[in-house]
Amino acid sequence: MIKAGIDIGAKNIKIVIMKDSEILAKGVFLSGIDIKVFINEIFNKVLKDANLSKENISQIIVTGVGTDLIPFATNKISIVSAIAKTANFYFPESKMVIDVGAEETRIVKCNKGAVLDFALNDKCAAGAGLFLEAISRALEVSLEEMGRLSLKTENTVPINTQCVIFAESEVVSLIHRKTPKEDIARSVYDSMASRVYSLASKLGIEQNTVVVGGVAKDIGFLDSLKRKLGVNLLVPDNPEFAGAIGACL
Amino acid sequence: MKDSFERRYKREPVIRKDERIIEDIQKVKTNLINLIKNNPNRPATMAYYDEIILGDKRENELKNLKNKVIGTFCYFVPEELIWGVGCIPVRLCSGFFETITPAEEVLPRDICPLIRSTFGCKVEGVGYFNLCSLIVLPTTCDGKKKLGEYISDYLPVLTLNLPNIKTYDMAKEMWNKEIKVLKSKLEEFSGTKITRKNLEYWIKLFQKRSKLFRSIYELRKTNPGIISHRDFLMMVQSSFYDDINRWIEKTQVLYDELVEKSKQKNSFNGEKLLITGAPIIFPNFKILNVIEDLGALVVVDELCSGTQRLWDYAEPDEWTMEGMLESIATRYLLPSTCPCFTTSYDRIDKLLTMVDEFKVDGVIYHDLRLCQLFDMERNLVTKILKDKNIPVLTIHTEYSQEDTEQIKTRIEAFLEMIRSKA
Amino acid sequence: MIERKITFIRRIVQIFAFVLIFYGGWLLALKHIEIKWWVFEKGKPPVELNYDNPTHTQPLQTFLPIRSCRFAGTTGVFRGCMMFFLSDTLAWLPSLKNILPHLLLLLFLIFLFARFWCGWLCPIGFISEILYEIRKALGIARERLPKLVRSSFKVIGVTLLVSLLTTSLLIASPSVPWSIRKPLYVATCQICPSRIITPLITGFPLILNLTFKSASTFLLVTLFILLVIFSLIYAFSFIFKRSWCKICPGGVILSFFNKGALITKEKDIKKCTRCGICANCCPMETTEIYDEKDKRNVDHRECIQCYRCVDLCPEKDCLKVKFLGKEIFKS
Repeated sequence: MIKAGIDIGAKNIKIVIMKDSEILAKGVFLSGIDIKVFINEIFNKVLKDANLSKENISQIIVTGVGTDLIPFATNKISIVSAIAKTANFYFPESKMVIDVGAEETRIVKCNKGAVLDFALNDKCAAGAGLFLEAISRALEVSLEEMGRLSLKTENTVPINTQCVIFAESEVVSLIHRKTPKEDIARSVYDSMASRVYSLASKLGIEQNTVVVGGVAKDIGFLDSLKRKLGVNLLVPDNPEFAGAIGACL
Repeated sequence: MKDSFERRYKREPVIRKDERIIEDIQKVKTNLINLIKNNPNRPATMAYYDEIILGDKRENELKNLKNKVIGTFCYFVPEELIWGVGCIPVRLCSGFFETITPAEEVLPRDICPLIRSTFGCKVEGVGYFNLCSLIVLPTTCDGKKKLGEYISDYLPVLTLNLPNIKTYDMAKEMWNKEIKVLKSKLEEFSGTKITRKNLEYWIKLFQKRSKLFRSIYELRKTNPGIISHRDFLMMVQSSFYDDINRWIEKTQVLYDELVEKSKQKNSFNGEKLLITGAPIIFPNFKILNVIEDLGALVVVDELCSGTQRLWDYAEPDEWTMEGMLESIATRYLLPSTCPCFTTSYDRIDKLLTMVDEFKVDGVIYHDLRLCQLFDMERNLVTKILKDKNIPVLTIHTEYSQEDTEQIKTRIEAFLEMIRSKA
Repeated sequence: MIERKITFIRRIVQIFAFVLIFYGGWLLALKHIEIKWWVFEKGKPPVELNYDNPTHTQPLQTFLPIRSCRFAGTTGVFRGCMMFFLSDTLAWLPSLKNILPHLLLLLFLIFLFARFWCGWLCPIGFISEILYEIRKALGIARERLPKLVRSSFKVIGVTLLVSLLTTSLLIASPSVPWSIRKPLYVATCQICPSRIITPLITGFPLILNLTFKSASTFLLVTLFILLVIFSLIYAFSFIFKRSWCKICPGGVILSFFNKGALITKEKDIKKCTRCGICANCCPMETTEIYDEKDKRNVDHRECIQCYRCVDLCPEKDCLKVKFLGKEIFKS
């Protein structure tokens, strides 16, 4: 059965077309202001990549926020259940999933794909992708470069603020004080990782932890997170599409 | 002491009359009621409660009555005494988001939203707060403790010293004395003495009201779908300010109607939830709207603005004046599950009983941001419920409507989790 | 509609028991036997004495674990109460076969109901409840015993019982002089307030043994003072509820059986809202039922099984009374 999964995130829309367990096509697009307007467009684009048409798709499952906005969706599932299923698909022994997206961080405790407990942190963006983007802007490097820089040092400077708006200005003042960019980058990742850690510790940290989401591609973040949580982290391929994949499973 | 303080340092009460806010509030109320009315299964008697909750009818009645209106807060104020001296008690806890900003002119920003909302009603001159001539305020949480001083700029305030540790001998003795002092102060305020027969009448009436409420509560055990929880809370919250005899009459009609309904078909197949935590007051039904839109149903609540309000009644050992006052004092102190006391044992026992009796699938813990008491109890309560394999979801929220989507995400995930467990 | 059903039923049973015990002899026209009291001394012929005791004794030669007082005279039904039986037996030490049936019957009745006798059938308890009904009608408030007094009453009760029984045993020895034995014979009756109350009700002439010669005056005065004190305690049940019942020696004996009797009370811990109504209304001023949060079984020694707590408890099925495992009352 060919299914399509659409994950509507805060910043990006992720679409994936799968046949049983194989990914036929995928695409990531910026969420605009009015999703209804261009969802057809982007969906057709992904369909073309897979050389299929809408009739071949037996189910279109939506997840994320704004699930009511897709008129042609057939089912919906909550993002929490979706990432649990993805984690189980790639790593059947996994007991915990950490999903760091653009604006949200989600931690799900699961067992063989069934959700046991979850915690969401969507009030403050300090533990999520937008924070990193703001810092990379202030450091005037790309996100990948920032990850590489952070691995080059062992020093950290205390980052006092947890607010994205103030973080940019604080980083700028640190640069003016000639703090090396490597140290700043590492401290930023460490502070993000401690936010994730405090959310995860309420649920109890498990040995087999999977990390998904756009931020899971960042090696600097993964390093900090591994140090803070003290467990081995498992990262699947295409971590950004975890939600959309889980919707299809 | 207050008078000499006033003479030394004068304070002007802040009064604003923002027409827009008053209009907005009216709109919010009407919209919510129209939303709730959309339910085709709604019992017909609810139309009466709609009218009362909208407020205008009852406010006009109160304006025209000669009796003075006394504003109260929380669970702990004995209403039998207030009715006994011929005044009308009105519970002032408010659910309006629009009155929070005017209140922040006077009150600090980082306190309980319920307190800010209620105080804002006085600043704006909206609602029942405007009709009161006296306020009775028990010292429950930190916010309410200090609120008395702010309100005393506008109205006279009688504070009741609520004991923090609920023990049978010492706390009860202290509270007994407080109630006696309250009685004499109320008699002084209203100019009427409470007679034995009068107080007996009111105690018996309140018993009747409680028992009627319990019978509706019992109906939902076997047949949860007969009334939605928003309707149930509207019924309970209209008793905050309605005329008691009329409320009892109409609720009897509602009960008969619900009994009829439960004889016909319907069993409810969705998820059954219990909601507990900080008060949910009309029109702040945000969480309930989300839950009921997603197809689940709240079958029982453990809220001080819901079941806990009407559950207990006073049962005097003997019908002498002292015996009745003692029974009123125990009723308004000992059975309370408010987290303002030092231990949470009674509340946890009550929650576990409710979960058993209603066969609840999951518990939602409503945490108002900046409420320390409910927040502190949350860890204790949720741990015990989780140890007993009862799924719990905590929702931190405020009075504003912005986070509706986020609440929806969480509740959706929670419901899916429950469904996959089953 | 009767609001407090159990109390209503209990009142009816109490009235019935009261009438039967105190006036049954007259109602049922039972024949009364005149008895004579003999004193046996070694080597001497028996001497008939006539002191302090009613000359007519009741027809039913048995004893109940309540104040089925022998001072009810010709209108009463029973020969005496359990305390009289115990004192009498210990003082005269008759042969076992004479007392065994009475003893076994008593034990059986006690084991069956324990302090249920106190709450439902004792006529003296009934009178003390009448006293506080009068107070209620007059609008006077109830007072509670101060904590120290209440806890000391428990100790006094047991001490009283033990001293009465030992006194009765001590005077059984033949070496005790007559001046001591006479007043102390049936020590319980000398100090029991029932001795004053019962004759007032049944019309039997009050007999106080102050007019004895050849009896130790010191003992007589002491006993008289004790009698007055205990009668006052009884009379205070106008203000406090059932004040005598808190130190009654018969009640103390029954209280040891409260926990193992066939009639039990149970509480559903989770339903209890800790409203405190049971502790408020308890005539024995105990808070055991209110405090209990662990076990289901809430029998305790002080309870007179009046079931007022069960009657007034607002939570459905929270408190239950069971006899032989079957529920008879519940809240």
